[in-house]
Amino acid sequence: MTVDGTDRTAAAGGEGASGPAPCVLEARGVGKVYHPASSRVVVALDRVSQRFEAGGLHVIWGPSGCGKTTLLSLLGGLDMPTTGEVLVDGTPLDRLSEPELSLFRRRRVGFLFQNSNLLAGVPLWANVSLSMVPDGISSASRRAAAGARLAELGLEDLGDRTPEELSGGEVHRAALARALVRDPDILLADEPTSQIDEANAAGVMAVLDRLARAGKVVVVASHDRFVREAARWVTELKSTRRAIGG
Amino acid sequence: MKHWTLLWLALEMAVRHPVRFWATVGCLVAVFTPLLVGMAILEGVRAESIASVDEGPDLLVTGYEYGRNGSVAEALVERCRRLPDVSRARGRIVGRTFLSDRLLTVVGLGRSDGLPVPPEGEAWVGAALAADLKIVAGSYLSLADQGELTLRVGRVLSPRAGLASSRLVMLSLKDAQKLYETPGRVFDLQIWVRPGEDRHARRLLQVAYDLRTTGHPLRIQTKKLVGEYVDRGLSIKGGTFQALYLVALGVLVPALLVTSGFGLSTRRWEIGLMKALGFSVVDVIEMAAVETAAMSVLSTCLSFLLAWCWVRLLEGALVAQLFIAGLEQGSVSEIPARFAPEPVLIVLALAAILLSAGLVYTSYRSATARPVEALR
Ligand SMILES: Nc1ncnc2c1ncn2[C@@H]1O[C@H](COP(=O)(O)OP(=O)(O)OP(=O)(O)O)[C@@H](O)[C@H]1O
Ligand SMILES: [Mg+2]
Repeated sequence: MTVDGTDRTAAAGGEGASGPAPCVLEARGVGKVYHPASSRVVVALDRVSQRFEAGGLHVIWGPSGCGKTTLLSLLGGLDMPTTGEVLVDGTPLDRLSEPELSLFRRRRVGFLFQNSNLLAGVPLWANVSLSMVPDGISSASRRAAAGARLAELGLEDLGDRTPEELSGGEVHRAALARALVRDPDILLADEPTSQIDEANAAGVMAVLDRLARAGKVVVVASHDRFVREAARWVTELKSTRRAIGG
Repeated sequence: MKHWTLLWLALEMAVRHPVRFWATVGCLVAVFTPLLVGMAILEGVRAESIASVDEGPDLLVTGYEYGRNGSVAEALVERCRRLPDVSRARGRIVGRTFLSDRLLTVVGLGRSDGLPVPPEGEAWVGAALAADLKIVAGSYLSLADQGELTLRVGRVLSPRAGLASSRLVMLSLKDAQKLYETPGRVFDLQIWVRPGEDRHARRLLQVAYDLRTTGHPLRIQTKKLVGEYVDRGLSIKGGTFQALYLVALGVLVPALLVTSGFGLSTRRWEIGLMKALGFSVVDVIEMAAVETAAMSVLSTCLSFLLAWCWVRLLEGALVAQLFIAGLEQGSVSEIPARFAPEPVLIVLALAAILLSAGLVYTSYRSATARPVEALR
């Protein structure tokens, strides 16, 4: 319920943000209530205010069920808050029309889901480049773009395989490739290290850190100590349930 | 370009779920094939009837007794023939009789120049009937009604002579009069009026008037009227078929909704994912529309192909009997059928409407939900 935003590496920071005006994502008093006005009411997130900037990793930290996924969904425009607002470069997301919001999700946000969410039976390259379809990008260009991303993540030979033919770690990296394929300003990663071994986790964190330093806003939700170590800023969410009970 | 990539993606996504795809198409085909068969046979029978009416006489005259059709004196035929505007006239006897438990139509034809008529003592037999009774030219045929007759089969009519003649026995008028014991009477009178565009109608009226002044009570029907009776009878049959069909459709539509609805949660999830990745509502609807169009066209084509096979290879089994009275399996070489474009277009439209309800609408519902909700 309370938010504790601390800059752990404030002294070392400041070198990342270069190039054109960097993107800023901001949550202002953002709250989410499921089933309001019913006996099943759930306060998933209670009034979170936080600015997310480029330059280093933001980690949203907290125990299971404290609302990390909920907050990431609100930041990425996949859901709308019950209270407060999310702003991108000063524009509230709820002010955007449906096509504008779709465009925001497509071009500016990369979302790494907690459970990957790849389409079964679809080759990896098509999965990775799915968000390029509504822009009318030819399948040859999509295949090339997907191939490049997959190669960066060490999956260069697997573009024609389907997700069922991959290991858990490979699926996870493919999902990361999909999040990165449009070269988004904002990367939202939900538990990027929870399902994979340490070596893979370190690789993924290195990629995220590099992006953050290259001027992207990178927000990672996790309860993994290893992720917290890598963070420049930590936003700590306390379990709202405990807060309500106590 | 954007529409192309969406179109391809839509087709790829559709064939990713082959069971769902083919179950839906199969359901539509099962609904539409019999409809197309019925419509084709209805059209075919109508065309054949109209053709036979067109070749028929300009006036059909029957006697009129106690409000019903009755017989006419044969002498009237000769009188008619002498009327100035009449080019041809002949008397007929049309009746039914049983032959080895088969009901058949007997037509006795009076002589008239230019029209083929069996000579006395001879019978001409329809192709289907001949095949049924294993009759060939030269066999003998015994008919019994009021009177009894033994006739030599002079000819078996060509199977291409049309459905109407395939179960007929044609006799000379004299023999038919013996069979039904109606000497000197005919059942109807066919009159052809001299052609000549503008004067044709006037001549018809003149002939009709002349006939009335003979003092016989007569019922006179024009070709147009006969055509309308035929058409009306067919329309009623067609209407009955369509009504039966609507009932069947009413039963099958829920089945269709079940098949297209089955896998709905997967579809919802996929749409949620696409929305999360930045597809707009319009993109999603466009894809659903492409899928609808593809499935409609595919199921219409398949229905058409199957209907064609049903008519040509199975002779419209089960459906043809609805339209053609007394038709038995395999009794004619070719069922009259005509595949007109209208029923095919109707089927296409119906498929599109049904699928839109099941597919475009549910896609719209999923697409307008927030992505996290659809992804859940
Ligand atoms: N659709 C929903 N309806 C009701 N409650 C929900 C719904 N979605 C999430 N919640 C609740 O909201 C709270 C926050 O959920 P959320 O998924 O954001 O947690 P989380 O921090 O991501 O947990 P984890 O670390 O296990 O992934 C939880 O208590 C959860 O039970
Ligand atoms: Mg979570």
